Amino acid sequence: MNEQRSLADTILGDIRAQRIRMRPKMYFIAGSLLLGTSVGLALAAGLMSASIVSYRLHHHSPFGFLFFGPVGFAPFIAAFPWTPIVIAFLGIGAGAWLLRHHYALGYRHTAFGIGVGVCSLVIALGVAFDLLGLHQTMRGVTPMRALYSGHFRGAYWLAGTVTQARNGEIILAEPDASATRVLFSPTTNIQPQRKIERGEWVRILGQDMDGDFDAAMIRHGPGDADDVRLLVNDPE
Amino acid sequence: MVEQTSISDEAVINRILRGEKGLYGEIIGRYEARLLRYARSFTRDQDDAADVVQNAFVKAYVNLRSFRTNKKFSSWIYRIVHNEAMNALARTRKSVSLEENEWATNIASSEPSLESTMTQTQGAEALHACLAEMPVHYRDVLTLFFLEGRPYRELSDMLRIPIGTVGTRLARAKAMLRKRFPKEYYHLALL
Repeated sequence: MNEQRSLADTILGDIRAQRIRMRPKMYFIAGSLLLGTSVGLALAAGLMSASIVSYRLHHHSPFGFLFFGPVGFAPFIAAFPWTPIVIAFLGIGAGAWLLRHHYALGYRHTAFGIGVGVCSLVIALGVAFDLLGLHQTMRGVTPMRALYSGHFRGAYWLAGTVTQARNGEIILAEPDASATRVLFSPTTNIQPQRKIERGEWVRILGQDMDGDFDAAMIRHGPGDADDVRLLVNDPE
Repeated sequence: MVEQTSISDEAVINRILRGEKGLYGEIIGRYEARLLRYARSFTRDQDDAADVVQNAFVKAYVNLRSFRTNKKFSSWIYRIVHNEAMNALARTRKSVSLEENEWATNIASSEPSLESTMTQTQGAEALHACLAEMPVHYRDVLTLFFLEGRPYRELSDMLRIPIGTVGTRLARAKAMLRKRFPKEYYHLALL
């Protein structure tokens, strides 16, 4: 009993002498706001990145390079949206971790359950964001433009939208709006059909010739071309 | 003080938050003994357990405004003691003493049909050894469930794990105990 009183007396003495004080309510409110903001930012980064991945996979379809065979593997790797995928998983992971470990009731669900739930929600919203066309607004924002555009040019490959098509020559606009003149001949392997039309998305293997591109192989689609009107000032 | 003991913990906390700071002594009085017993299951000796409990009471007071009075205070304070005990374990990296686990001692000495003190002592020692070998998170649920008599929902809140995980850990802890504990002393550990 004496020992019991002495612990209580010790702590009460510290309280009266203000050696220990209660943290103010605002401290915990700020903590909750910080947690909410952090979760929101993490999930927003995940969602935006998921929408970019969705956009680039169905719009530019890096898998199309694999139709060229083994030589198409390097451009496939270069055009694949690795960075947005990494950012998406980091955002989802950070959001799920914060919810699991810092949200008051996060412990009532398993880490796996929260991870799957957050992942599913972010991916579903990201795909919906893209399919609803909301990416049009984000593509105009400078840091996002690079992520939406991706990388579509290498030493021996190129992809983009045909803005002009003439005999032996096409003008190709890449997603970052740069334009390249592509030269081809009757010996150029063009699949699945030889006719190339303005406004379609094509992939090209060949050789860079000081700004122009000499095509050895051209493949139409898959993928959706960017709107030609947005790429060139062409009344046609 | 008699008047205060009829008031719930949460009501006392409310009064402390409204300015009656002296009532924190009532909270300490209500919880000190059982928290010491709980902390003792993690620490090597009584002094370490006392330090853990004192630190926990101080932390609880400092963060009292984060406690939601519509929740159970006991789950909250046990959680703080648990965290302090884990910190103490990490700092000292000492194992539980084989001599003074109160649950094991009580179980071993409460059996009225035992014929000899030697059997009781051997049973207690066997139980102590098994518990000491057990990972902390299994020892934790066993102690809280059998020693403190806490239901699954409270164990979930105290240990911040899903209720399903509480059940799983308890089942595994009992299976571990059954595997390592000599069969002749099963009745001591209520296995």
